Amino acid sequence: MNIVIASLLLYGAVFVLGRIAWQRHDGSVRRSLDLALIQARLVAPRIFFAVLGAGFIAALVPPELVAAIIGGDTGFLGLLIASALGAVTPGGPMLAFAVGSAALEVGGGTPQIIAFVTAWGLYNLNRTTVWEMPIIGRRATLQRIAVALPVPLLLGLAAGEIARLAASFG
Amino acid sequence: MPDPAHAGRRPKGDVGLLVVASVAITAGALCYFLKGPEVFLATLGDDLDLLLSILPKVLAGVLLSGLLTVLLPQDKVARWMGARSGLRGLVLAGLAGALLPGGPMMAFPLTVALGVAGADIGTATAFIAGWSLLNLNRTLVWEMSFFPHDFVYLRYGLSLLVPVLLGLSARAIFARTKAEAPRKDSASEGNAE
Repeated sequence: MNIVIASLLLYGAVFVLGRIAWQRHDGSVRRSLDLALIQARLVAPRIFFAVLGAGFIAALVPPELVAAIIGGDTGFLGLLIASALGAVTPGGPMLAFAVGSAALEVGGGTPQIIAFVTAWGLYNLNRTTVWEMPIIGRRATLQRIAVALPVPLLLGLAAGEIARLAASFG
Repeated sequence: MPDPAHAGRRPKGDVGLLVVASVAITAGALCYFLKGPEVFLATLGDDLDLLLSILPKVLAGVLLSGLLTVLLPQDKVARWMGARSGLRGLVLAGLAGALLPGGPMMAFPLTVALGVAGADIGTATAFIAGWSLLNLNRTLVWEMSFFPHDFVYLRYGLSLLVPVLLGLSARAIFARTKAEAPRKDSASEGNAE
């Protein structure tokens, strides 16, 4: 059901923006399609291998191990480990999300996986060293990361509190 | 092709794909030999199912990002946003990060353009945080495809205020170093490279 809603939203947005581009009559549609094709070529092989790899890794790793390291009961240490894992996970969103959702499925805790995704988003080393530092400079990068550093832990803690509250009410 | 910028960029992308592909193939082989052909085939089947269900969203996602890139010219967005300051500037920067599609090759050059247009470290921080935590294209296409939706809502909801808060923190902590910057910069510019 939810998947249908997300797809409807997506295609609704494509339709609305496509209409705007069409009404411009200046080749906007053509240029958009060209860009979409370039991105699709880039993304398609990556998502294929990312999904396959994450699935196989999830099948290989014993669930008890995942639960022991980043399970819901691992608390603060688990949040720390999950954040560190997020920071060192290379690659684009397809790999990080594939790994994170596989971990969630085989015993990772919601707060820990939230910390993982947040750390990957805010400061994964791969993106920071390859793109951010060379483009925006070392100083701005380090300042940005300095303030972002505790965020994955804080969001993980908040998610844990919310789960606890929800459990005590439900 | 002797274009060094181009030659330097290409292999990086391919290395990324190579890493993902070799991890997938190694994991697949290990799965086959350690867990047996049955587990291997079952996993492969699940993965292909997931790929099929993701496909329409990926299609919508690349169309959307192509359209937004053409309809929202980044230099205009940067000029418009860079001039805004205060809390409003932070909110707008976070919002722009959430709305503008594209990978790091879009986000970081745009951050530089923001700086050129007058944005400070707070605005830059809010923009990057908005892009990395709240980007709609990424969440709708990738995150929702992989994660249970209540997980996505929880993570997204918790992250909503983060860009503005990080922007405020960066401003509060680093505003002083920025004020001293003219002296330092003129001294270090000569030494740099």
